[in-house]
Amino acid sequence: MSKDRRFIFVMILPTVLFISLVIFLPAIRSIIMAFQDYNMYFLTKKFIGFKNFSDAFNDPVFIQATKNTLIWTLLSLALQFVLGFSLALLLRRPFRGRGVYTALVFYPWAVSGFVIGLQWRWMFHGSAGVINDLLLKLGLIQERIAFLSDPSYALYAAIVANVWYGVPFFAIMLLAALQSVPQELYEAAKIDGANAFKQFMNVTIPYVRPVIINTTLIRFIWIVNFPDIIFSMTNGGPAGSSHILSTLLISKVYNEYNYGVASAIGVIIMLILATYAYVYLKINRSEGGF
Amino acid sequence: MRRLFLIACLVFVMVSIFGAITLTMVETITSPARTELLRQLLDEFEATHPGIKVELISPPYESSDQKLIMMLNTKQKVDVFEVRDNFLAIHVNNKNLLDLSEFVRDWDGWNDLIDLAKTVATKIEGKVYYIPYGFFIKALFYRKDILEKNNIPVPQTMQELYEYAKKLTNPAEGKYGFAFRGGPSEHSFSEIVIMSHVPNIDPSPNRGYLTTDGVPYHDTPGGIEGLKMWVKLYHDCSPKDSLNWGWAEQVNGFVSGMTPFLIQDPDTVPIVERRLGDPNLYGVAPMPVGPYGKVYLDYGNAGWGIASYSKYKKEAWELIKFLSSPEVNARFSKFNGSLPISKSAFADPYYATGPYRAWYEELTNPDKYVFYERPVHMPGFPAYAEKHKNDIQNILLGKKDLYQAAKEWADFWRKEYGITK
Repeated sequence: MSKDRRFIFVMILPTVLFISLVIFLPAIRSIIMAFQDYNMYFLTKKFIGFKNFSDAFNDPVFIQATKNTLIWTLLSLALQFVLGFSLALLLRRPFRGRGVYTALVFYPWAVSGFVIGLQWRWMFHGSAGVINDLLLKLGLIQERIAFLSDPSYALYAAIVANVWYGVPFFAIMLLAALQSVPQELYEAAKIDGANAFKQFMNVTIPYVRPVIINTTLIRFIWIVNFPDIIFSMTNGGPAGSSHILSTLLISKVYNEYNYGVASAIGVIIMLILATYAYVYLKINRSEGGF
Repeated sequence: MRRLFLIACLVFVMVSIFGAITLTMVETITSPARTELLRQLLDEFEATHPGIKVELISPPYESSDQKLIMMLNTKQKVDVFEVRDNFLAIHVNNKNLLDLSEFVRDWDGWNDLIDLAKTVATKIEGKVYYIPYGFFIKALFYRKDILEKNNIPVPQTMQELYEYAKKLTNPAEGKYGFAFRGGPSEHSFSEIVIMSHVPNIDPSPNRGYLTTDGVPYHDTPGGIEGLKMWVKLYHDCSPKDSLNWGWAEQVNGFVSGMTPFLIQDPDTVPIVERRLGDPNLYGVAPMPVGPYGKVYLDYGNAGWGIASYSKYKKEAWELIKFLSSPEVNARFSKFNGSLPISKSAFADPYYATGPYRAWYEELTNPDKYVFYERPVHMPGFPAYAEKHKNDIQNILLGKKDLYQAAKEWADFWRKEYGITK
């Protein structure tokens, strides 16, 4: 047994080393940077305690971005999940042209986030965008709305794009899970007199539950850390009203060259995600999720 | 026989690798087309300078500056690199730029440089830290066809610009006068209009944003007047969504005819011309002046410098000399859309006629067009630019008081400059 152990240890050592080198080392480095006066003008790297954090917390844009991160993540996740699950249920039964249809539905997942952002940016364009045209023609609005230049719409426009992008992920994962539910279970449930809704609640859901938990957990983290669409659609504007924490971080690095504050924001994101993952797993484990 | 040939090849390769000097050059304002042109020029350089090879490193634009700074600070092999005006101070602070004064003394090309080129090259302690390759200065683009149709002349003053743009504006038809810039880098547009209302901006380098009274211009009466004008230009003459417009939207608005007045740099000329398809549809005029008969223009520029720790300083200087020669510089400028650095290049008909005349006008009328330098070299600048953008957007949205914002900007620079009054 101990020989086996040693063998296992030797075998995984390269991976552990590699991961330490490319993930843990940079992570530790960025945590250190969060406590340094680190900008490109002066490479002094002086330690300044929690000043970067207090700078961040005193910035109204940071507070806005934190609220936005919550809205952006929860709304995107909920809509992506509901629509993705519905799509998976629809695609589960065979019909003519299902292959082609499935491929079309999954297409957004294959496109880069930046490209999606650019596409939607033109679609939401205040004067030349197709969305304004449609709404005008349908008589829903009287004059064009500058979606991306109006703080009350900008974030939600980005959420629409993000939902469009993320639906296929849930559809793919949940469709695979649905297809693994044994038919006999449904037959047995039918014999016991369960209607479609009851079958869904008592057979389908419990069976795909682990997949639901894992995908929503992963997806939550991804969405929090997914600046691409907002970055290319609004760049956090107007006036910082559509920043989420990860786009604000990018802006601190590339617009203000302030690595210290950016790292502090990075550490804050990391803490939020770690807490989230811990609580989420704990709740689900206690309910027998895994 | 074949073996012999292989050996011969190998020997040739070894000799060319170890026998020649290889200069490493890093560009940062990268684009595939420009890299191609640069490579072409480097090939010509290699052909005329046997024994010197140049390896060109072109990091993707988004992270190129960071990459270059990292390379320099970790003393990786870099001989010649692109120096952008806003990073000059960083490179000098980090002691990564070589003082070229020695080399320049024996270079006859120096006297052919336009004054502005000499000014920027020597702006830090009078030492020549780089040779600029071109300038970006803003001018006013206008749609000839639309102005003619509406019987509107080319504006000479900011007030005229506002009035004419307002006349052209009719939101119901989707017509506006002005291609407003509210998005990224808006400060380099808004400040032209705002500062033109200030009578006494100090043009000396290292005094950026200060008046001759030694205070930030932002909350002076002129600064407030100018800011109000900029706000009026948005509300009365520009599409609503221009609040967040960047370069692409501005150019799009201009080309589509939605916004016939556009403030832009010379590198926009080729794009506008190509997309309009007809050079007679547009013109470029010198920047309209403010109520005091002048306008303050900043000049973006970049150039080539040598790494202080380079082993091949002499060869690196040969390369910079080659790139800065009028003929090569004019070719590079035409492609790059920047204004050339030498007087002889401006004699080229390409620059003496057509849209570029406007810039020549600006460069040669120092009473009307005052060149000043934004304090881009000061550590607070990037944060200021970001704050300025957010504040202006909030003012336009009615969420921030104009006077309050102006006061905050002035306070910002008072603190940066350590001014107590």
